[in-house]
Amino acid sequence: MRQEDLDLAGRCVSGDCTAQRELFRRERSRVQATLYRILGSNHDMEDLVQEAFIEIFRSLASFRGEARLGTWLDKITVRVACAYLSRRRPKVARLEAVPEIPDGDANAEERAMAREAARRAYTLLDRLDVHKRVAFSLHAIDGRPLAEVARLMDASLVATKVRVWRARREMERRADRDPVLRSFLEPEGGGAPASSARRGAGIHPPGGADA
Amino acid sequence: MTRKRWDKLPLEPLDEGSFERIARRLETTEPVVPAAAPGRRQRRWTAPALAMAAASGVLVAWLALRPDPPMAASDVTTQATGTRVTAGGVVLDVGPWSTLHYEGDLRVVLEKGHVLCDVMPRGTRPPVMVEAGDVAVRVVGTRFAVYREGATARVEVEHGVVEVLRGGQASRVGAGEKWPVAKALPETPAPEAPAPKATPEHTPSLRHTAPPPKHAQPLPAPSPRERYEAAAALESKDPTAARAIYAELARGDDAWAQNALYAQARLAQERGQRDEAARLCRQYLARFPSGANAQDARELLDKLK
Repeated sequence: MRQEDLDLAGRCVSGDCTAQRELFRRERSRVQATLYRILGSNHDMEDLVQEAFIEIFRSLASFRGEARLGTWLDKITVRVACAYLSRRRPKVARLEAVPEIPDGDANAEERAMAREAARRAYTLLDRLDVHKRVAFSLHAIDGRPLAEVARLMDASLVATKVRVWRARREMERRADRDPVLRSFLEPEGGGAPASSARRGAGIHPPGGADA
Repeated sequence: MTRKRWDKLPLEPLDEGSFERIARRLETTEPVVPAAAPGRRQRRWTAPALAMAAASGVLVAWLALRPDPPMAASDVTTQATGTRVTAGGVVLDVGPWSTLHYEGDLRVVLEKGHVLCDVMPRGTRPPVMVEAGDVAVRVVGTRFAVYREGATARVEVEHGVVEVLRGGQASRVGAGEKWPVAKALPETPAPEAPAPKATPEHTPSLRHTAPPPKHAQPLPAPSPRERYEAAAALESKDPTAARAIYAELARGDDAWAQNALYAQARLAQERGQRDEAARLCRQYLARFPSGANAQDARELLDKLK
């Protein structure tokens, strides 16, 4: 897989448009999913995915294959998300990107509830500082291990643990005061803790999940 | 307080149309062509395996050797904030108050202002030509800035090597070098009244106070104040471009030059370039010992020590 990644990166760097398209097609969902987990909305998503890929293509020459290409892309994506949050922090979670619920959908109510919970959760996340928010989003919402979050954020493991712990404390306290959020986020039958959560199924392309 | 299942929050994927739009924007002038499609169709028509392999070989050769599609031309004009344009393997950070025209990723003509060009290695593709006035820059993969100055231009190379062509003469400019070398620039912007920490009533619409240039240009030249404000707005988004504008402004000797030189030092310090920040502070104090930011520069210098 690493050799395949290196070959693809090499072809992209040499200006091979087909390879660049292939990389975009292969990784676009991964980049969008990472951005979405951090931002909680598809507002500005097209611009951000574009920005992330511009950075990716610009930096590909420095990809040496020490990590998987996916992990390397995640790092750039996280940097793009941090920069976005730093320069323009949204005050409210947006609703315009939420798709219509089709009539006759048996799960419509459940999905509407999930979206409302997400809107409320990201409104709370808007009140955290950028680093705490990103660390928490990647670990608690996206289910990445703390060590991976630390690598993606260029931070120490200890600093990352502290950020996640503080963010979780604030978020859980606020969520407890919100009946919709509290009921939605309740563990089912004392289920697995959030830190052992798996990443969103079906969103990342094959081979996208990294340890 | 029970530990919540934050991972239950839903994830909304982006629709295919949005991804297609992003792909088109990334390629700018080269539409997304499913390059493999003709091959697949051809294979369906070819029964014998040998013939199929041969057809694939022909297809691969054709893909590798086919001429580039005709490049669509585009114009870009920026106002107070710059913009980024991607054309194939070329990323153009167009500075504020700039106008350029580009034809795919092969030719860029800078009419006004400045552009920072990041060119991926070209491989077998022809070199990119960046033209500004009577100067042309030929490049096969590097990062450099071109500043349009009247009828001519200035070039600064960040890394890699470019070839600057002017009047039939070619000069190679390497990383960290500038062209032309330490000679007076052919034209400098018209001097303007000093405006230290200007209030709005001091500089109402300075854009219109500069005399019109001799050659026709679509927009009047931005004032130092506008350039300074554009650089300040760019600091977080594109510190390299901001630094380039500050550096250009700091070459003058008016109040905006003072502000720009100090801003350069502050920006360098914020980006962790301590030596560079100290050098700029010392330069400020040597050039403007009683300038508006002299005290700030001293304090910053002390902090850097």
